[in-house]
Amino acid sequence: MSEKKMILVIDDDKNIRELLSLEFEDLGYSVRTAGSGFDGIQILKDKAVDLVILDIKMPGMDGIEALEKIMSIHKELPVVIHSAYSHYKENYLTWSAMAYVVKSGNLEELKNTVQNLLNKS
Amino acid sequence: MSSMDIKELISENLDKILNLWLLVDSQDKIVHCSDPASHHLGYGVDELVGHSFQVLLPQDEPDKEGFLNQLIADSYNGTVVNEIARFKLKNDVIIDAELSMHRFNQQNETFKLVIFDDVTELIELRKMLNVRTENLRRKFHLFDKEDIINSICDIVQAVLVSITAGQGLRFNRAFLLFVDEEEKVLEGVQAIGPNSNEEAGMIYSLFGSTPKTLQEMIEHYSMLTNTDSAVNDLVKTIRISLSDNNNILIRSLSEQKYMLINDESPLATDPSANWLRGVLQVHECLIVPLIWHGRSSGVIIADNKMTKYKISNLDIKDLSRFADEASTAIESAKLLSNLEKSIEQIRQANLTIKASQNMLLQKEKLAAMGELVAHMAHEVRGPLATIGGFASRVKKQLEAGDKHYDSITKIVETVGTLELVINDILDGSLPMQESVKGCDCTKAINKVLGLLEEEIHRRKITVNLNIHGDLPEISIKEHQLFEIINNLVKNALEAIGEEGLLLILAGNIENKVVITIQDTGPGVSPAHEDKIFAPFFTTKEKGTGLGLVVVKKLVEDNYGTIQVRSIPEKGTTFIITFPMKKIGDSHE
Repeated sequence: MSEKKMILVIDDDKNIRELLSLEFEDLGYSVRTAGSGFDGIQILKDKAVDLVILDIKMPGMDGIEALEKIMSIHKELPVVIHSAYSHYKENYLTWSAMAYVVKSGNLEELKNTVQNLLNKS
Repeated sequence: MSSMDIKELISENLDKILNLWLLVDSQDKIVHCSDPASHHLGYGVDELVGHSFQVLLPQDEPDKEGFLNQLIADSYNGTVVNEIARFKLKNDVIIDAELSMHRFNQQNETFKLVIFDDVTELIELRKMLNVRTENLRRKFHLFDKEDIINSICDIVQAVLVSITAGQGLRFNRAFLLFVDEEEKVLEGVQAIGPNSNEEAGMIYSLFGSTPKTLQEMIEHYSMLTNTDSAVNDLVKTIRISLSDNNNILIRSLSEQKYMLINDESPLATDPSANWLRGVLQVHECLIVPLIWHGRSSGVIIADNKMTKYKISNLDIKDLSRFADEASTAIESAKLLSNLEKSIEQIRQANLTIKASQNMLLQKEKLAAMGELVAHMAHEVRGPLATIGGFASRVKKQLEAGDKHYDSITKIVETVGTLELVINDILDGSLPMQESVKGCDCTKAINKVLGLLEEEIHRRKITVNLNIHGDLPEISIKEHQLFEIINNLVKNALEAIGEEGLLLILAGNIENKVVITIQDTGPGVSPAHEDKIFAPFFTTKEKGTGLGLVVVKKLVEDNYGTIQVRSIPEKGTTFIITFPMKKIGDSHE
């Protein structure tokens, strides 16, 4: 692995941003974080990002709107929805994301999903 | 001719045509009376003749002396017809009499012929029916349904008893038939009368020995006869179509005339009259129509099967008159009962509406609760993820023997348990989404075309919409069907560009709803046809390549299929198929 893959975490919860940064850095990834959809899009425009972990319920631009923007910039970019809501899984507006993981204290599912997507690409 | 001559003349001839009569001279002295008249009044003929007419008037009559003169003054040409008066019997009992009087001169002497009927029972009956109808109205206001039905039975029973009672109209048997407007038939309802001569004897001896009030008689009769007696069975066998105009009963109804059937009547040879005599097993019977507000609502048939007494003109007159009273009482009762039924229906409808309202409220409450729980779950899950995630991180850095290892394990496990609890609550059948109702494809297609109308008109695009008959409903959420059709039509419009044809067909083929959306755009090559539903595949400059992915997922999630046929330079056709909604199908 010549260069570390870059994960962008967009979540308004500072604790989650910190937790995911620590966990994915432990796994050998570079992690950037954004506290809002708007900030996330800005980072995406400036930096090369390999995967986005995206919260849905956020003040200002929410995850669904952010997802639409991300898709218009990078159609192929894998996005993992990471939300405390489970029912957005039923909402087709989230279906263009590659995966949907419900927030949990057990991060195994999220880690596996992210690793699988990044190994594919 | 002396008064004696007149007496003889009258007694010889009048008795042949009249029943209760008195002859009074110019001094209001009774010069003669019929045997039945004196008997009815409680006197012997000798006890009355020579006495003043005033002995027959009650004490409280205001002008006893001027009574007959007042009648004459009110009369037309000395003749009075059917005046109601009160007579006092020898035993001081007061009766209601219907009185007719005719004044005539004979050898400078003026005589008055007074003819009367005892109508006490009729008047009592009329009062009773009025009271009963009045009671009925009162009960009606209290909404006591059973009481009303009982009251109709009561009134019918009272009518029948009145016709047959010795102190009423004195017929042996009476049969009541009603018109059923819905079935278009006249049918037997109820009847009264002895089944045999023995039973007749029993009833007559019981009633004959002790005169009863009408009310008492009705009660006695109810005890003696039950509703499933032979006459009741007999009357219920009668059921005649209203269109059978040859039938004597239907004729009586439609002509609104009484019909007397006996060997002397012109009806003696009428086949249906003889049919009726056969059914009732009598030589003579009387049919009287029940007329209410000009409408025939039924008939009464009366006969004298046991006593074989001849039916007199007076009997006919009495029964006809009584039929009017009976009609009013019966029809009022029926009307009130129908009204009661309507009110009951309205009340039931109200209950249903209330129940639906409650259900709606309940559903709304549940939906609101569902939202609340989802929101709470979100609020709890975030912090739980933080606690669990950080705890796990700490745990990873501890050795199994560390003094904090068990504590941190407990935190991680408890967070896991709490998350499971939240999942259980959320999955516990909360109506977060609206349930799937039957969905109308025609409506969805028209909605899409309506929204894109401006766009279609701006370009030169012809839309050919062809929907075959009434499409059955399909099981899909309305917004999902809209999304599918909207996506496909938008794609087609983009493919067509500025000019072309958009063809939308919908039909019901083998219990499936098939919708075809065809454009005259450039089409896609066969190589690309396979990839058309693959995520992010797009031939459009600005497309996300997700529209058709969404369409395919939505279609398949709702048990439908989607196919694509494309010919380069000709156009593309999408065919979507949905199973029709099964009855009672409403999965969440």
